[in-house]
Amino acid sequence: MSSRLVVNQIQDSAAKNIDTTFVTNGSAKAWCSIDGDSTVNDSFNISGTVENGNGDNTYNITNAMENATYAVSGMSKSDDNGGVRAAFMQFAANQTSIATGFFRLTSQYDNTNVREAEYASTIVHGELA
Amino acid sequence: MKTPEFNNVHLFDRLCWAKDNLEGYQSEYRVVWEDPDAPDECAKVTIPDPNWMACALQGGILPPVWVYHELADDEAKPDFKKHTRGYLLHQTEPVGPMTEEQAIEYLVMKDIPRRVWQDHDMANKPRFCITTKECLPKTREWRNAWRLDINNEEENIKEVA
Repeated sequence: MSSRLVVNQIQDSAAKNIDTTFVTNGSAKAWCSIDGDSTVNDSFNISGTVENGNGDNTYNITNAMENATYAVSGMSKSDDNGGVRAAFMQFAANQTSIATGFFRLTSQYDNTNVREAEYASTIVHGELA
Repeated sequence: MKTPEFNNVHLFDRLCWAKDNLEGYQSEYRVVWEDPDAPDECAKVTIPDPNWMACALQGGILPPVWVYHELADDEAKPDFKKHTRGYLLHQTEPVGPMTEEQAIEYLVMKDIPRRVWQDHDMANKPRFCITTKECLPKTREWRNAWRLDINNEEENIKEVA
């Protein structure tokens, strides 16, 4: 690394201090955007995706998380242009859907069918291993 | 671009450097595999991440694949709560540059369960194959074709008729 800044606290213009760990612990540790065939459009700290079936994807993490209780959020876009449908993401049911090195999400529509999304994005927060 | 000396540098920091300095590489390779522990599930397709591929091709960033196996062994223990050997990711000397094919083999061993590939040459049938994107069908409907939709039985009968 060409340079290193070592600080324990950051202060804002109102002289309010916060620990730098306050910032680093709260920042996203991985994120990923995929299209309908699970090809990664852009990402960080992701080694690859697995298309387990229609609308069912596993995301593999390069720098694993410390434990399996980290938080994942995700959004997907309905590929149904014929009507307005909600498309949301949830952990895949009836299987291991989160571990330190991966998480598995399904994209579901408001009629509860698991279906391919036009695109989907996910973010991970938590502690790194 | 030359990779900086990354010995004992946190893997996350190495990935930050790679994100800033390397162009993503979108591989055409895909790995199609079946999980022997989940015979009812359809075939799965592993797709390499372009930023990860760039790290693999560049060299000096990713840890050796055995590190992931060590962490997986730790996590498989019944009393596992959290990783205590995460330093393996950061303090093990990074692997050198790989060819695209070597990177895919590394990815198979990192991201696909060992039960799929470890004894693949002794199995009764192939459990995985490395192929290219163009060899896969454009839509994945065929992989779910066997599933009956019992909630729409009348509709299905009409379709068959």
